[in-house]
Amino acid sequence: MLWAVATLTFLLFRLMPGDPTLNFLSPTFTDETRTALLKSFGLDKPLWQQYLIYLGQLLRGDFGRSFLQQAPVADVLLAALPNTVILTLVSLCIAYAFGIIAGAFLAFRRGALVEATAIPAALATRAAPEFWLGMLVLALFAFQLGWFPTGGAVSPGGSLGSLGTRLTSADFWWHLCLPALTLTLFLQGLPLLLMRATMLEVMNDEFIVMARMKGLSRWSIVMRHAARNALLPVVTAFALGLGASIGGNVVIETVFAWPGIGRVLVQAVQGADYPVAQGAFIMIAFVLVIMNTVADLAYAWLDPRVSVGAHR
Amino acid sequence: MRTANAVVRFMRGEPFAAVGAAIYAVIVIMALFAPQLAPYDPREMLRQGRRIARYLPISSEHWLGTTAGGHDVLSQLIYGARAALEVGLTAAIAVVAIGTLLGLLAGYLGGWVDKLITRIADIALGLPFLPFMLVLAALTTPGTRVVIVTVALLLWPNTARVIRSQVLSLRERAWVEAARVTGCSTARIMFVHVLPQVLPLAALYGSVAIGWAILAEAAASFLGFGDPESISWGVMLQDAYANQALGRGAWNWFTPPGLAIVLMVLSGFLVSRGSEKLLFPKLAEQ
Amino acid sequence: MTLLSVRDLHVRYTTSDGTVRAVDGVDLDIPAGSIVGLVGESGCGKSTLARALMGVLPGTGHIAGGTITFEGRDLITLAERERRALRWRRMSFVPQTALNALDPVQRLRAQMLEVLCERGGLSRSVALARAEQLMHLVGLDPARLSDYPHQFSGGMRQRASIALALALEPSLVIADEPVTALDVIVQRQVLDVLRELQSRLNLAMILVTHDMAVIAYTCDRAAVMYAGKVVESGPVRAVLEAPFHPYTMGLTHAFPDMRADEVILLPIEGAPPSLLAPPGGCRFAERCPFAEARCHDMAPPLIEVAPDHLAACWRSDAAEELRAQAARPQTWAR
Repeated sequence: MLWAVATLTFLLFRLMPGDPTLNFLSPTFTDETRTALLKSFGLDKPLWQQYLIYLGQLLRGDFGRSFLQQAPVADVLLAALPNTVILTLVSLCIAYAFGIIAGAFLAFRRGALVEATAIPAALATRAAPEFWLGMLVLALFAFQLGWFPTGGAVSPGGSLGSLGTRLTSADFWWHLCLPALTLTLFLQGLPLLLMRATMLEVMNDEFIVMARMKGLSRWSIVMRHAARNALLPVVTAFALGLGASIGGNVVIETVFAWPGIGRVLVQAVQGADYPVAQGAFIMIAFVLVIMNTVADLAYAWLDPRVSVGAHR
Repeated sequence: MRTANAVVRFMRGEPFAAVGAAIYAVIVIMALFAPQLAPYDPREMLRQGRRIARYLPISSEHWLGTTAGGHDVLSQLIYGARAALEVGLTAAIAVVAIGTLLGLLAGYLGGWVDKLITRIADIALGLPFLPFMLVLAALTTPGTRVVIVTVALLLWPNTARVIRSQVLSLRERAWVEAARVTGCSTARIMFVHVLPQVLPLAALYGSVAIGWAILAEAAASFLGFGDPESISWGVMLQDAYANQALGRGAWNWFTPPGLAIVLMVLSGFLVSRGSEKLLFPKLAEQ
Repeated sequence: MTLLSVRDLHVRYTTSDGTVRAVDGVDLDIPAGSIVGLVGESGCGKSTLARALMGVLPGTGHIAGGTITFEGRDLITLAERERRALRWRRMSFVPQTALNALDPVQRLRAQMLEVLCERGGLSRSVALARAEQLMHLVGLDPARLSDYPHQFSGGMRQRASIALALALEPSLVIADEPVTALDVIVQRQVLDVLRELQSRLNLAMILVTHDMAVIAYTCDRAAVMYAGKVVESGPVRAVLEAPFHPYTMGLTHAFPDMRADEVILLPIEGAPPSLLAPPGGCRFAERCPFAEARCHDMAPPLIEVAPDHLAACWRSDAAEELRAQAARPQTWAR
């Protein structure tokens, strides 16, 4: 799978109509400089040779060097990756925690008015473009109210530092607030609706009827039996969501100028920095594929019907 | 007359679907009658006296004010419906066509065809959507074509998967067996007998796919990879952001296009949720 | 002494087509320490009755009238909290298919402990010991407490359900088609377990089933239900060997069908009446080979036709002669 994605990326970047180098090299380079650059990036060799070099480089974790920044692509990516991961994880966790509780609550307390308002509201958050939500949040909390910074991950004059410094810096977390809020708002709709739907299904299952027969309290029935069973698909969704968000954060990171992988990709594409763009794309795709696999495994592991074999 | 009654009864029973359909209808009307409905030409730089009418607030002449370039927001909003429908419908049809066809083939033919299609679907699912679209846009030309192609290439697996399951269960039914026995060719069975049965399901996914396509177009435009010549809601938002509308508090500019997108995508969700009961009554009875 | 006494019970369901009168005026007595079989074809209301006794009806169902007197108290007038207190402690339930009835993500031990500790108030260690005891009681290896429901075979799952049902030593166990989903040999085993436990612990049991053979094998008493009403009840020997109601007569005669592999237990043509709008008069009259004019006009009451034997038929005085006719296949042919 990973191999397939890597190969596809290679083909994508090399076989597009037109000379890819033209897109990514400045036309002010002289012919000699251009040939020299081509040679140093290995672009003058036949395609299949380039492919093998490419695979070899990938396996060694070598993504090449950035055209624009004087640094290996890997460094650029690794500096940006934690920012995306932190943003995504924080938002996903809050969104799912909220969604699960709210979803269970909605399944528990059914009522025409509650459902007529809550469900469309949740659907609406999923229907909204994330960047527009970001724009609204920015306009309100940053510009109008001035409670939060308007972008970036550090205040002017500061620098990001290592991962440890970031995690302990209050400034960092303050900057994280708005993008995280936006992302959380956007993400919570899915777990909410999913949890509610699976809860409703589970509540009709026979073992819930049995639980009532046993005289267990409603609380016990809902929390211990229904919720546990209903959580299975939600956990899978979480893993899938993690994979998808890493790539989908592109717009949020742009709105808030959050220095994550998505933003790196956008800037690289806009600035014709081909190795960085390719590297960022591969990294995002890999995370997606890995999380998809994790999701499958997680479901199998969590559901004893699948993990523990059938009767002896 | 009978179908009209059935539709009315359906609408009463499924308020969600009714609301969704109503929103769709409004948007379609907006798109079809844009020239009549819009008070101004969306591309016209309006003037107030000798100066360009920038950032005008809400007023009786400009119900939603004007943009940084002096364009009437409301007119742009109304014309934006056209772009939305164009992109949405084209992409939705493409996704549904590919997904249905591949799902049909995989489900009915089984064997290596099924395995191959499933493999390709896995790869399509392994590619992140926005990054792919970005890269594709950068390497070819930005614009709605890229959006439609990306949607068609990456979003068909969901439809295909569902169609495939339905085809798998339909395949075992008696009338398919009967068709086989009377010597119908495989192609004929697939397309004349099985396909019509799965079309309602495909249509369901189509209505949701329209929404995804619009969101994709909006994101692409926002990042600067859309078609700058067109007037779409996504372009409006990008315009607003780039012109610091947020800092200026020009809510009248950047809120409506987003709301329009929300409504359009939401209506897709609502219609598909509501239609489930109509198309699959057995499912509801369980 | 009578442990449970049902008088004129009405249970109804609201559906989109109208109100279904699933249980329409049922009288039933369960003496302490006896096994009573509740038999009837599907749709006759026996499962609804069982669930109404437990007080756990689906959302669309409700009790529309009558009394259920259990250990001296009318269950219908009890507040939900008191009703809940009784559940499982005084009366418990064995479901039809334990696979769906047991929580699939919990081990058996956890489900036992839940009942024993939370509802029985036992400490964890005492509860564990009791759980093992219960497993022995139903003939299961206590080591299997660590397993999940799907790891058990059908018969063993039913035994586990029985163990759960007995956990708090109730005085009444209601078993809803407990062996229907099992094959014949396993059926025997599970029924043996039930019978043995019932006599050892002196429980009262209601066994709901559509299979006359199960009733004959297991029960002390039988009550026959048809279209929402009890049409005959009494000691099982009497009901099976000397029935007073034509429906029971039909049930107890099995005619092997030349075309089919299995023996058809119900030679009676036709189907029960719709419970949305039950007919006035005897509900069985449509299908009864012995029906007369008055049968269609007035519903016969459930009266004592022999010592401790009740039946609802206008022609119960001619029962002996009717039994002779019922023994001939031609009577039932239409």
